Formats: sequence, C-alpha cells, structure tokens
Amino acid sequence: MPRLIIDEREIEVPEGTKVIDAAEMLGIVIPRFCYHEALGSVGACRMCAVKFIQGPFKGVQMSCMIEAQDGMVVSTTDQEAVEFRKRVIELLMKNHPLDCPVCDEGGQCLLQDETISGGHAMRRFPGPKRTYRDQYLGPFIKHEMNRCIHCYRCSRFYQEFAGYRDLGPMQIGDRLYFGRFSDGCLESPFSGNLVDICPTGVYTDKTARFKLRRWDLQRAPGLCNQCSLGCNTVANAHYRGVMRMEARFNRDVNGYFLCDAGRFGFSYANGDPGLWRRPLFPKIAGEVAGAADALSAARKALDDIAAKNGPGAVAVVGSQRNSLETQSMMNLVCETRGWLGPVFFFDPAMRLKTLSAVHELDGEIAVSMKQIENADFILVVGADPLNEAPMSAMAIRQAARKKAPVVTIDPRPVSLPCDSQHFAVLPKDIESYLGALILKAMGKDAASLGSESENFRAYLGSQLENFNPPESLDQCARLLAASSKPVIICGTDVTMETTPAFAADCVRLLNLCEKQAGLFNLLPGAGSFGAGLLSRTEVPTFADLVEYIENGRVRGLVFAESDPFHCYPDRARLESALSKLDFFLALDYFPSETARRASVFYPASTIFETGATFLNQEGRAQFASPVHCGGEPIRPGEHPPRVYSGLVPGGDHLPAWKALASIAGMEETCPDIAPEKFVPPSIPGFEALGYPVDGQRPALAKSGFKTQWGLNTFDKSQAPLTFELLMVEWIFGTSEFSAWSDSLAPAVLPPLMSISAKDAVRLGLADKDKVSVELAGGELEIVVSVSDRTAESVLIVPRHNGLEWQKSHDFRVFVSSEKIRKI
Amino acid sequence: MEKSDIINVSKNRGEKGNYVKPILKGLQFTMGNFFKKPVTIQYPDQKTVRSQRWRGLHKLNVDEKGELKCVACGLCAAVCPSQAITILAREDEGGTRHPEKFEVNELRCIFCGFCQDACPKSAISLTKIYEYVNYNREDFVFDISILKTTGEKWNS
Ligand code: SF4
Ligand code: SF4
Ligand code: SF4
Ligand code: SF4
Ligand code: FES
Repeated sequence: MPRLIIDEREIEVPEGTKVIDAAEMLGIVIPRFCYHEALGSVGACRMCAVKFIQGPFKGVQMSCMIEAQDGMVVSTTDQEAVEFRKRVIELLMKNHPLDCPVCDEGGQCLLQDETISGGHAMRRFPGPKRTYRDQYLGPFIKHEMNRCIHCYRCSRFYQEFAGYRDLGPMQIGDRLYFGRFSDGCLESPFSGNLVDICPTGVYTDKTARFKLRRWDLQRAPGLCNQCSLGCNTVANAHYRGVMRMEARFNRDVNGYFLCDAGRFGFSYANGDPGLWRRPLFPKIAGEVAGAADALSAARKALDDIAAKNGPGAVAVVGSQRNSLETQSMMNLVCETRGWLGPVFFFDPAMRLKTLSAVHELDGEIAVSMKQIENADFILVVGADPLNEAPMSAMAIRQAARKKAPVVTIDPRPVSLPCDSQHFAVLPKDIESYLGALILKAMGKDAASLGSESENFRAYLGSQLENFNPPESLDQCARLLAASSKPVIICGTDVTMETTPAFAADCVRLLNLCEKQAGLFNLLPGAGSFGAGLLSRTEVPTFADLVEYIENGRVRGLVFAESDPFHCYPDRARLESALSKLDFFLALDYFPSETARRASVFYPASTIFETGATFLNQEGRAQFASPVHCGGEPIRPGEHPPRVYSGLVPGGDHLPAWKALASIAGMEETCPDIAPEKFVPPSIPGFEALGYPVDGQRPALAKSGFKTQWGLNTFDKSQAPLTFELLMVEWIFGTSEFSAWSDSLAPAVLPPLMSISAKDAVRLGLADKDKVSVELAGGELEIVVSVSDRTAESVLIVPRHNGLEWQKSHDFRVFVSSEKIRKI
Repeated sequence: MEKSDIINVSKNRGEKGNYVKPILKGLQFTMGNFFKKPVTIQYPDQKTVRSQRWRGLHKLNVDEKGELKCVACGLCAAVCPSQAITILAREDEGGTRHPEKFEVNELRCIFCGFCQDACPKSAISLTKIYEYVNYNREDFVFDISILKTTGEKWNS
C-alpha cells in the first residue's frame, strides 16, 4: 500500500488509487471535469493539474492520470499548479456562452464552481465564440451544445459504460460535437444519467425545464419504488410537487446512476394542475368528504360487516408496491381484528415464486448489484433485466466489460446492453437448461455429489429426462466451469413456480464445488420482498378472494395501495365481484379505477410526503425520507400564499398504514413507526435495525416456508400448435407508475406481440402484421413483432396500459393457432 | 363624601401673577420665528429633490424591441432579503426563457436594491418613485403589466 504526502498530510491508499482519489480521501477535492470514479480517467480536460515535488514524477502533472506511489510528495496549492489550472479554465471558458442565468444546471454546475475557484473572471480573448446547432434528443433530455467543454464524460458514459452507440463525439478540434448522427430520441433507457454526469449544462432534464432553480428546491434522500432494486435517489420538491429526481450514490445498489423509468416516473405524485389527477380529497360514495368523516364511515361500515358476518368477512388486500410499514400494519390489523389477509398477491403462482425467491435467499448466496459487476460469469434465467429491473442490466454490462460471459435462458427475446448468449426456451424448459448447464460445468455426475443435494438431484433427474441439450450449452458450461464468482440472476415473472428455489439450489451446488456463486432475484415490485417475508401461508391470494366474494364469504374489502383493475386478469369478473360486496375501501395515491369505484376512498400520501421503508430484492432495508408535505397543487402562475401556518392545505394526508390503523380502531395501540417494533417477531433480523434504517441487510434467515417441489402447474405436454400467452413487463408502459406519470408517457411504445420467426412462418404472419387473438374475454388486437430470439410456441404480450390484456381471463393462458387471425 | 377625600388644589398654587413671565418667554420665541423663512415645503404641491441613489418602486426594463429584458433567472428573487419577488419562467417556441409571472410585493419590499444589483441583465431597476397609494393591500403586489409601466402609472 503506497504512502504519499499531499499538501503536507500523509496518507496510505490501496494499490492503484489515483492521486486525485487519494487527495479526496484526505478531504482535498482537486478540480476535475473529465475524471469520474465510475468512468475512469482519460486526461482530456487538464483541470486536475497538481505539482509533484518528490517521487517518480516531477512538476505539474494530471492527478487523475497518475497512480499514487510510495514517496510521492504532492502539492495542490503550489503557485505553478494554481496558475496552470487558472489558464485551463480560462481556455475552457473561451467558447462558453455565459448563459448561466437561463441554464437549469446553474447552481449545481461543476463548471461554475471550477471557474470561480480557479479565479478566472474576465474574458481576455476578443475573438468570436464557436457555436453549434442543438439537437432534439427525445422527451427527457434537452441538448444545448454551446455549453460543452469537451470532457468526453457523456460519450464515455453512454457508449462505454451504458453500452449504447447513438450518442457520441463527432468531428475534431474546435468543431468537436457531442450528439447523435441526426435528431431523434436517445435509444438508451439510461439517458437521464447524462444530466448528472455532464459537468456543464449541455444535457438538462426536459421534464423539469425552466420549472425551478436549484436553490429553491427541497431535497431529501429518497428511493425509487418502481421496481424491486430500490435504487437510491435524491428527490427534489418545489411548490408542493416533486420536480426532479437525481441519482444518489450507493456503492452496493445503484452506484451513481438510475434508469429513466425511475428518474422521470415521479409525476404521479403531483397533482396535475389542469386535471387535478392526483386524488386529494377523501370521498364517500363518490362525493367529496372530510378526512375524518371518510375514515369513521369506513370504520363503521367494516365494524358492522364484522359484527354481522364475523371478522373473516372483511379482507385486507395489498399489492407489490406496499411499503414495509403498510405491510406490517396490514399484518397487525389482520392479526388483531381477525380480518382475512393481508393478501399481497393476485396470482397464486407469483406468490409461490416470490415466497420461494425470498425464503431461499440467504446471506451466503445473496449478492448485491456491486457484486454482479465483479462477477466472472452471469447466468440470467427467466428474467429480462432491462425490462424488469433496468439497473441490473447496467450491472451485468459492467461485468461483461470485464470479460464475464453472459448467458440468458428465457422465452423472451432478452436483449442486454452487452454481448450475450441467448437460449430461447419455454418457461417449462428453463430448469432443464439451467440444471444441465450446472451439471456439465461441474464436470461430475449428479450422483457423485454429497447428500446435501439429494432432493435437488431427484428433482433434477425428473427434469432432465428426455432432454437433449444443444451443443452451445457445452461451451457455456466450459466457461462456467472456468469461472470462480458466477452469479445467477433469476426472474419471477415468466418462470415456473419452482424455478427461483431451483436457481438457489443451483447456486448452492456451485458453492459445493468451491465457487463463490451468488444469487440475484428479480421480484415483481418494490414491496415484493417484504410481501414475501410477511405473507402467511394460510392467507389466500386475490384469485381465491374473488371466489370468496362470489360465494358471499367475504363482504367487505380494504384495498391498501392496491388496484386489482391493474393486476387482475379478468375485468368482467372483477367488476361483478366488487359489486357484490357490501362495502369496500380504497387507500391509495393513484386515482385508480378501484379508487373511483370504492364505497369510501382515502387519498394516502406518497413516499415523497411521509417516507417509507422498502426491502429490495436482496433483502436490503432502505428508508426513503419524506421530501415535502404535499398539499393541493400549485397551478402554473401561482405561488403558495405567504402565510405563516404549520399546515399546507391538503398536506395533512396520512400514509396508508396510519389510515389503516385508524380504520381498524388501532390508533392508540398503533406502534411507533419502527420496523423492529412492528415487523412480526416471527421474522428475525429486524430487532437490531433501529429506525429509520439505511441500507442494512437484516439476516436473511429461513422461516417455515418450504418450496413445494413438483407444484408446477405447467403442462409439460403442450399440444402442438398451441401457444402460451406470456404476459410480461416493459420498462415503460406496463407499470402503474407509468400509467399515472404523464412524464413517462412520451417514452411509452405501442404494444407489440413478440413471436418467433418459425411460428411466424407457420401462422403466415410477418413483422408488423396486425393480428387478432381470440381470448376468453374477447378479441385482442395487437401488432406482431417477429424475432428469432423468441422461443417457439409462445406469444409474448406486454401488460401494456394501452392494451386490454385483461381479456385473457386467467394468469396462465394457452391459445390454439386457429384463434390467431391476421387482420 | 368625607373631608379627607377633597384635594385642595389652590394650596399648591404659586404667588399670583407668576405665569406672566413664562408666557412672554414663549411668545418671544414664537415671534422670533414668525418672520423667518419656513423649513418645510408645501407637499404635495411642492416636492423635495431626491438624491441620485434614491430607491423607490421597481421597474422592469425593456430592450429596444420593447420586450422585457428579464430572463426569469430568479437571481433577484434569490437575493431578496424580504422574499418580495415571485418569478415563474416559461419557454417560448425558440427555447428562450421568459418570465411567465413576475411579481413584486411592494409592501414586503424594504427597498434595499439588492435585486437591481443581482440582475445579470439589468432588467430590474428601482425608480425614484416613492409615492404610491391604493385602496387594497393586494394592489401592492405588482405584476408584469404594472412593473413594465411603473413610471407612467405613478408619475402621471
Ligand atoms: S456534453 Fe457535457 S459531458 Fe459531454 S463532453 Fe461536453 S461538457 Fe463533457
Ligand atoms: S432500476 Fe428500478 S429501482 Fe432503479 S431507478 Fe430503475 S425502476 Fe427505479
Ligand atoms: S429592493 Fe430589496 S427587498 Fe425590495 S424587492 Fe429588491 S431585493 Fe427585495
Ligand atoms: S435577476 Fe434580472 S433577469 Fe433575473 S429574474 Fe430578476 S429581473 Fe429577471
Ligand atoms: S480530470 Fe484530470 S485531466 Fe480531466
């Protein structure tokens, strides 16, 4: 470990540390533009000059290009270095349009900071400035090229780090231009990071354009709750609305970056000034009512039902977006009052998958996104990272950049921002492929393994009967055998019920063979891990609940942050079931259809207003701090009245869990907001957490749940020329957040049904043909996209908000070929 | 009423005629000033001369095309110690930034002139106008239409 002296202070740093980072460890921030920890050094800007006084280098040198070595003596304040940096900033400012007053970067601009700190104030060069034409870069990013200082950060991020090629440097010298070959939307779903990464205002956030100045913002460390990864954010609020999202550095989770869905999908939390979309008023039978009235009306109605029909006639339904607080309170309420629930899952298969994914993951095999970046073999099974958890695709790319082979086994045409070997297989065959790959890689017979794997072997044996793996699997197996830190990324959306547990056992098996294998599950939502932990086995799923309603066993419902109209596949049946209920209550921050139809509706606060804890898919507990207190939205041209009052009008909404406590008559006994106090003691690991939690991973201990091998409902003998309709997620356009966030609307692509090239020939279809698929609930019209990366015998349809996929009437649907017609 | 309740004032009165001298003294001062030139002026018929750096009502300046110079950068609002300025920006078709709304609450303002100092576009300045009356407090929240014509309205 080299020791060196910087500004008369000594420090010992790890081998390979750049001098600029060594200085930062001492709290000395050397000016820089091109250097970024995630992107590495290129020495393009010359801003980080320092004077090397002793050691192997002498004189003024770039601190981002030189690794710390023993015996170095460095001065950042030496007159020569200071003078050098002053000249550099003067040159960089030569062409700058000096339009800080109208630049949205102003106030958080590295170029402003370095210009001031460099001491450059007066322009000496009398010549003209070079100017550029700006480009249209899509709905999220505004391009203003004149502000560029040619640091290359954007192209290094966009091309090298994120793996997309449509934005980069062009021309040379003074004409060097950063942009696209022609105007058009940026292809990368990570384009929002350009706003953070560019040290100047070339790329600014279009959704927040001219709405704010940096110093006006209320900022708080938050979380993204749009997928199960739980990326860390900084939420920025102003004028009673969330205005902008920035990435917050978290080494283990998202690093420095966010995906575009997470960054721009916050506008659901704001009242739309024109339409007042965000519901702000409690309603009783559709009429606006006071908050206290609504809560007491709900309390009375539910008490009546419980008194008349027994407490089991009231059920509590949550969803995959509940926070840990809401989940715990639902659990507590159901336990105390004897109500049915909490029901977290709509699809029984999804429930099994999530439960086994959560309970099979233990501290030894769980890996973080950072560990994915350092993996040397990545196996993606039944997961589409870019669509289900976008930032995990970025992590996979980082591993691939370090030469880790990436193998995907999935029915979908999984595309990743890196090279990968894809096996397009049916969901029912994923386990056979995975098992065969693992067994081959271990180079042993399954029989030679210890007794630990007995169950697994028996199961695998049954899977591998009549299975002839393709040649290319052998090659992947050799690569896996050569790896030491492989990671399996397992999805829960299209996989079979047993696959997550199977993947976990595969990882354990690899670990028996002296590998440091890890498991990374992708779950259906931000609250899924908590739902998996808190689900009790005797509690039904929503699919069962619909039956209970139909036969009159359940008469009252509470929907806590849950919208069955978005998740349940049979709309007609849902409508008739809900109409049979005596009473149902909706607590939500979305103006969902359930909220509109509810007997009583209470507008719950968003995570931006009251904060919330989420467990991400690796079991990491993280807290999103509240950033503002919400309230009735400010219309354009308005300013909140300058009155001195502790209360913002409309800013007194309770979070769903508090409203639930009040409805259940438990406000007094309602425990303080601390997970260790109200996460049930049957779930270990939370006692020591304290509150709010930040980034800790409570012991992932196994509870009573046991994966039930052989519970697959998949029919292995699928009739020829029948197609399974696979409902999948897309990064934009399928989630509830996307449905209620106007800001994401321009990025949503029209729905497409993906089929394999062979099936297209069989069905006589071509790319972009419009087809009608006859389903139980009617005809589904959709455009076909033909891909040779899609598995045969599946129709892959997104749960698109603009598509009536609820005509499918079931979670698992098979369609015979004559039901698919070209129109 | 008891006898002790009565206060007899005449007891404290001085000798008869002692007030004459003070009255004459006062009259002497009055007469002494009576023929001097007055120090006050006949406001509002007459007005004082205001110094060069006098700071009165705000004015939003326009460029040679008659458009507001202001780019809604918000620096004046940021620097204002009494939070008298409210600005909302808008983008025009060409991507240029303009104030959608610019309000100065003249009752909150302490006329420090910081806004004028902070403005990078010399778009806001303080005039010498100090006389402004209205019937309602709300009318002292000046918007763009008033601020653009401050001089005309209050000097006429
Ligand atoms: S656009 Fe920004 S990030 Fe890209 S080279 Fe210019 S200043 Fe650097
Ligand atoms: S990857 Fe998931 S958690 Fe991260 S920013 Fe995107 S949607 Fe949010
Ligand atoms: S003069 Fe001073 S107090 Fe008045 S608006 Fe300007 S900055 Fe604010
Ligand atoms: S500082 Fe000047 S340009 Fe900026 S908002 Fe105020 S008046 Fe307009
Ligand atoms: S930061 Fe070192 S040269 Fe740019």
